Amino acid sequence: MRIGLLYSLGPDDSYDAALEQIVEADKLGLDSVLFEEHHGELGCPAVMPLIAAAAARTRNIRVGSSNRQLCLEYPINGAEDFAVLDVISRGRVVMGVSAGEREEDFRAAGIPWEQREGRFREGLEMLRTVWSQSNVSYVGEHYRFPLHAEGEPGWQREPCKLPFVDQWRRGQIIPEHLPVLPRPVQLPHPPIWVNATSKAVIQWAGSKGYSLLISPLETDEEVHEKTELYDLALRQAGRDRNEVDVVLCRDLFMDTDGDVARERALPALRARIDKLRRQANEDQSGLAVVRGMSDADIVNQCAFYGSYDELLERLLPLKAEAGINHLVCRSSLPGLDSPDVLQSIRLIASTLHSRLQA
Amino acid sequence: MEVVLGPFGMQSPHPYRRSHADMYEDLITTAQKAEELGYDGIALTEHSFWYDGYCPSLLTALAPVAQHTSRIKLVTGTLLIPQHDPLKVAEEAAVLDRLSHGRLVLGLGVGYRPEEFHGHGVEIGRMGARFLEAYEVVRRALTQETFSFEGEFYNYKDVSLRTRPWQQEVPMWVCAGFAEWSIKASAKRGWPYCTTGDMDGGGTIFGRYDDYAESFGHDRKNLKHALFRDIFIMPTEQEADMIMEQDYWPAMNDQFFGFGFLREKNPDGTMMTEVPPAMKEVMLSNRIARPRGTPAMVREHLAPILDWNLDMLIARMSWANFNSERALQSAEVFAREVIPMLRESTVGKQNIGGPVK
Repeated sequence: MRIGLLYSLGPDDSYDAALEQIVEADKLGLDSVLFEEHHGELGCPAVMPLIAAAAARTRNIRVGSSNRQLCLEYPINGAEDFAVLDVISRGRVVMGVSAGEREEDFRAAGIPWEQREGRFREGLEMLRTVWSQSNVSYVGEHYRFPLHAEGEPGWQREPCKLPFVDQWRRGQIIPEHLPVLPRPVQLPHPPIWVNATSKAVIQWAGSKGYSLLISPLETDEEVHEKTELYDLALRQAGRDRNEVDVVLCRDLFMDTDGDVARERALPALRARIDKLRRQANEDQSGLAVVRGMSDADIVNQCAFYGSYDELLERLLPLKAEAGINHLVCRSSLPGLDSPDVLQSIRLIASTLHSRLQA
Repeated sequence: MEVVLGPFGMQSPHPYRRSHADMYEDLITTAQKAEELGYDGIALTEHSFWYDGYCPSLLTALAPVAQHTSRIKLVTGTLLIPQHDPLKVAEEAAVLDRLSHGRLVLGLGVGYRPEEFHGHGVEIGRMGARFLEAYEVVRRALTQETFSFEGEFYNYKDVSLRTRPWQQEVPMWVCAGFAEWSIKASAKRGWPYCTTGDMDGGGTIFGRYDDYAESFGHDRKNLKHALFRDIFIMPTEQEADMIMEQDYWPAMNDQFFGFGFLREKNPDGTMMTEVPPAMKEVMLSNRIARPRGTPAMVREHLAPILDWNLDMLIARMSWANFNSERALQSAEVFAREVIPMLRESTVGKQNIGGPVK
């Protein structure tokens, strides 16, 4: 199991403190750092500059988003952003994507909320294609690329009919065949982790061979349900766990004394959950966290707050049974002091990481 | 007058292929060098779907520079706003401004290549009207806690950006050329105007802008002017001429004609792909539009702009296929020999950065 960090940096959180922690995590050899997109106060509304900043400060750690909502804009813009990021980070980007989180964000962007999953599926296929091919055009239900693409629905891969002319002498690029450049460094493209909230998206991700990312809201039980559903979709499509990652995001705070960890971190998480519950969408309304959980239940079923032994006891079944192969920990929450968070990160790296990596 | 180095396009064209990863790393080094040399900012520019990997994503590309510098402004010159979602640009701008502790200067422009609009799912028709709306959306999102906007292309109702920029007012510029509509529309709204200049260098543009603005009731004192300028400076005239011949002119062929900046047609209606010989002489000999030569010569060619009441000069000494070492040498010579003259005209002018919280 690989281990990374998750940051949900709200309007009042210090980017500098987070980046210091990330620099330290890179030195300690942790595997990834993801930033959560949130257009309210629970995260950062635009994670691209943060990912680029983290990439520029580090050497080895993977950097990326946990839930970039590609369809709040035209997906080709997202393809360009992530390609530039992959170049800046020299191939360390992971793209965690989500269909959509809050109806009000879609209202603001002028995109019908009901279309989010349809757009998401089309958008993601667009990204994957334009990252690796130049002579393509697309006609879909929600998008066309380029705008005036015509023909049958789906991808068109027309060979160039004109004699070969260097692009710089062509006067202009043939407008039907626009190359998205620069290309990402990773081949065939950066890893795509689908942060799936609905069953339909989990099944679709499995059938298409996209990796699955599970958000920190789920209880251990709900995690198992999701991975079973995902595995079924994989099997039905003739796919295998070996070609994908199953990533679990979790609130995780560690101390040598488990009680100290819970005492420090729980109030911060409680405050966050209360805010989240007020704005949960229909996909999330079935989750135990959203229905309401006691502090004890949160600690026992959801968040990983405790000492090494306590956490290992919970993590091993998730690794063995649910097959989680990448754990992304959110240690930093508003209200927690940066030195404490740093200590937790050091403990994660020196104990959990070395134990679970095998 | 504040002096900004750039804009850089992060291009890797066929006469001078480089690794993009190396170029983004060199950009950080260049920015650090610029900070050391006393430049006030570094600018990037964007285009999409062009064969040499022109940077399509400025606010992403500027974040690493923010991490490795401490003083210089991070300038987008130009971010082509109609090709983006304006609310997303405002959000990214707020985050980058916080990351850089208030060093973002947001230059927004229209764009002109049909393939870029269409590749971003946007109709090119009425691009001017679309630009004016998008600029206003970004401006409101960055300055008002909760904003609404009703327009032909964009509509927002009670939207608030919870993550606020570091600066109370992120400086915004209209980056445009010399078209009458853009001068007039910017003047009407009192938006700061940054121009590439026209064939005569651009001297009359600011006069027209000021007159329009005054006729719309703006105070001349509050108007802001900025200028893009290509500068070819070297210790000797011979070296400066060499940049013109070996770097600039081949780049013009590719980047203006192939690229489609000058959408000139041949007599038979096909797109012109080779520069007509007479044009070269006209373009190279205009020393106001393209100051060239020794430091003394460049000071002389730049002297007229001292009367234009400029707040910002974006000085480009490196472009597409320019040899990067020569470009760095130009930047050094310019900083040492020419910037002091430009500073003298700064007395009494406002900073390009807004007030900081």
